Amino acid sequence: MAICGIVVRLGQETAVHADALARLGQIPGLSLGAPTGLKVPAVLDTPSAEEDRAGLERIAALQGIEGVDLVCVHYDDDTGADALGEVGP
Amino acid sequence: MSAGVSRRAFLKTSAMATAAAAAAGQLGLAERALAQPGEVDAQGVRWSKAPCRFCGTGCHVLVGVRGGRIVAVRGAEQAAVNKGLLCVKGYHVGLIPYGPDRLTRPLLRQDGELRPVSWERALEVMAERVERDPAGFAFYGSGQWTIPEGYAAQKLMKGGLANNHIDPNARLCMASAVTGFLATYGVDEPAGCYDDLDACDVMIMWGNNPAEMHPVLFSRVIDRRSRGEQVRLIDIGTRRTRTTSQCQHFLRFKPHTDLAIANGIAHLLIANDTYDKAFVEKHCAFRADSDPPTLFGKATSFDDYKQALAEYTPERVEQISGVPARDIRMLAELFGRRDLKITSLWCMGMNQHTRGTAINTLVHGVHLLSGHFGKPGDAPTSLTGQPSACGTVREVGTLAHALPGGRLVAKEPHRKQCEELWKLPEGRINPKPGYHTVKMWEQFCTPTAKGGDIHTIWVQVTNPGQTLPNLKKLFRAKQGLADKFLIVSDVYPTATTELADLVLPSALWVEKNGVFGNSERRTQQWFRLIKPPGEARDDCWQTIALARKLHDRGLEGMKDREGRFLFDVRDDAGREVPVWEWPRYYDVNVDRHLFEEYRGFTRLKHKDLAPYDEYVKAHGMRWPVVQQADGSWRETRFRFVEFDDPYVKKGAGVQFYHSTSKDDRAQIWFRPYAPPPESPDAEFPLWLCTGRVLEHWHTGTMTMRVPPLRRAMPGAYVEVHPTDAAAAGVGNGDKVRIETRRGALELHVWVGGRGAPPPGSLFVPFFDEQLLINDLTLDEVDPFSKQPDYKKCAARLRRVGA
Repeated sequence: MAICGIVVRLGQETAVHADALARLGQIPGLSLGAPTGLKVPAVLDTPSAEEDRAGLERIAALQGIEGVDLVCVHYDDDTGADALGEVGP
Repeated sequence: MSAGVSRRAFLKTSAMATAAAAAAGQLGLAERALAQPGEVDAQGVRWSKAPCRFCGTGCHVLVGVRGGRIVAVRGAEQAAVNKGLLCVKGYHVGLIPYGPDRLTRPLLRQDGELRPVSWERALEVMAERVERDPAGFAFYGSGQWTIPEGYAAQKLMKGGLANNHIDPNARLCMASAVTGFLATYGVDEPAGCYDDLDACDVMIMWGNNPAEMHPVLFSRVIDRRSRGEQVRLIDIGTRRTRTTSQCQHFLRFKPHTDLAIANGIAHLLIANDTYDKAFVEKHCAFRADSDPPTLFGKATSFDDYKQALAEYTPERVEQISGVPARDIRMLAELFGRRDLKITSLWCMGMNQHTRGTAINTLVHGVHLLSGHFGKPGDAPTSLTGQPSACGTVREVGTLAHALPGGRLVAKEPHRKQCEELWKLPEGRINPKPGYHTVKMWEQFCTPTAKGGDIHTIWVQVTNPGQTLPNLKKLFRAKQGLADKFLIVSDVYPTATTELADLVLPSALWVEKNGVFGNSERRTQQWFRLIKPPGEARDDCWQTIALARKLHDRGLEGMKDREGRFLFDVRDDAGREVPVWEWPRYYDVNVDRHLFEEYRGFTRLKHKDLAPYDEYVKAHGMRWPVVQQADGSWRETRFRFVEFDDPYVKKGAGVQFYHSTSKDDRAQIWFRPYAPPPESPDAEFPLWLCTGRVLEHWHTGTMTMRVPPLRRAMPGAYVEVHPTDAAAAGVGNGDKVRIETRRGALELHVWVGGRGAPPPGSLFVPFFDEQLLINDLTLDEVDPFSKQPDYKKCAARLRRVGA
């Protein structure tokens, strides 16, 4: 649904950083940039509405990750229109 | 490569550039790499600034529009509030206008059904309702009103109709914070600001869950820890939340006993001689409840204060609150240290409380007594849940007892000032306060023959059919009362429109011009970026159009003393612009006109605002905003302190210049712990607490129409402790019936979920319009703020079918 620019915040325990980055690398649609200290810029590109949200939750839940900050999102026209066609509450 | 792939690759590159700049803290880099407000990028997207539509944090969003539709959002890199970041709701804010069931035409209930009518017919119906008995007409708004919208509503009611029955939903969320500030400092709103979050050594959250409710602010502090800074986080709460998991200390207290904790800290500061004598002697006075109780109480002495606190020993506080005595000592020890900076945060936990004013004053008192005030990082700060609860409700004064700029209807000089500024005939403004929210709806839902003297309520930008407490009594009792009439302006069908007699389709967020005021006194402006759908129109226009309809039908109150229309708007050449005609509404900037008029009210309480055009250039400014010798406008980060507040006398250091004791001192209050109006008993043995969740904003009207958010959190549930679940013979997903003395609701159980209530306690979120927990909540109110307590009442639970 969306392309999200995010900043992944690593925990202060440096011993687990390598494992955390390796796990991040396994998340589908996630491209990592060069870390700056404990912050890793990244882009999450997912094909469906469920997956972008799930991807963010998955990142935040990884061991060694302190949190995820969103900085931008581009709504994809096609899938966005489809999602918005659904009925509200 | 297809155009689609190329575009997607471009967007990914842009997103990575933004993220890299945010990670590196290189705002300049982001500025160069990305289109800025007013610019069009390579993909044809025009970027503009706007504050987020949701909470009171006031994050700045850059909104990308192409082809008349929002196609992207990003955090504004240069905005001091969020520094380029957004939370999960902010990230979806660009989708809120596009729910499939937008209201697009006025609808009038005829023969039991809502049927389309013209705007002209709708306005006639409204005018007839007002004319029937202007004194029985009420206006119910919110902290989501923009400043010009709230100001127009205020002027229509108090200036035009001489009717003070106007109140906002903010009465339900932050009224006790207002009375707490007034009783302590003599003037409303925090002295500190978000800069305190960057400077504090200790942050104490009093019944507050910012990790879910104000995530960008919480992230700001957690980010400091990521950089290796030492920040001690203390969660004083009744239930474990996502905030708790990030804190070094969790002090769980029994509901309602936070007053005992605050008194226990104050007692130890005096007993241990660790309070700040110099600060107290120079800048503070002491206060206690008068008989009968009033907001400003009676003066008392330090000795009386000390004596009153004597019973709040750590052991006694443990007995009352359940918080171990060692933790009370830990808090007192922290407050007793001069080398630390301490920030307190609170929101609904302290405000939705029948002793809300009391606990607010006590927390201010702990900061004043210990001298943890007036230095960056040392601040007692309340947060707001709505984007303009401060700007529109507290500053414009859209409350039943208030006038713009901190004035009161009951004070003759204040009425005269407003009559002068509004050019009204002398004596126009009614001196009697109108009905506060709970009373207003009670009078509306009471048959006229039994004294229910409110016959019509107009609701704008809020959803009382879901948020009022004890809904059957205060909202749904309207059903069957043939002479009562409910008008609702909204963007989507809601629990409130279900009972409406007339529904008006409204413009949403960037479909209109606007100005919000956030939790840190920051005033933020934006322009209309997209058009509203169908016949949806600005709420502000709706108010002006009704006023004009009444004017044209001869209602004298719609004219000023010079015979001009109450909302007389002129173009640069001085010609009247008929802004009540929708096609002409955007011929001029009505927001600018109303804001400039409102500015004239803001100086009495030193809440000075800059000209509208200054806010167009900025990502908001914190009042008082004062013009400098060079013509520039300077904001104020910290009030009452000489180093930053221009209204503090030279050499004073600290000056509480609106002191209620008229001696530039703040008031340190003693207020005793007292039991809540309803507690668990043999019949209803559990506590019930209600609140919000990360994914949904308040009643879910907007966020439930964003598919990813709705899927992530599709419905309400009840959090139950495993012990209570076992006792009831239920597990995760089982359906239970929750009952209170006011109503019952069936919900699915969540054990071990996101929040963890203690044994004997339940938690239910209120966002789900299909499962109205406010059928069960208590409508008892704080005696000063008139704010209800949604955080505690007695309940019972049983398995459905058992």
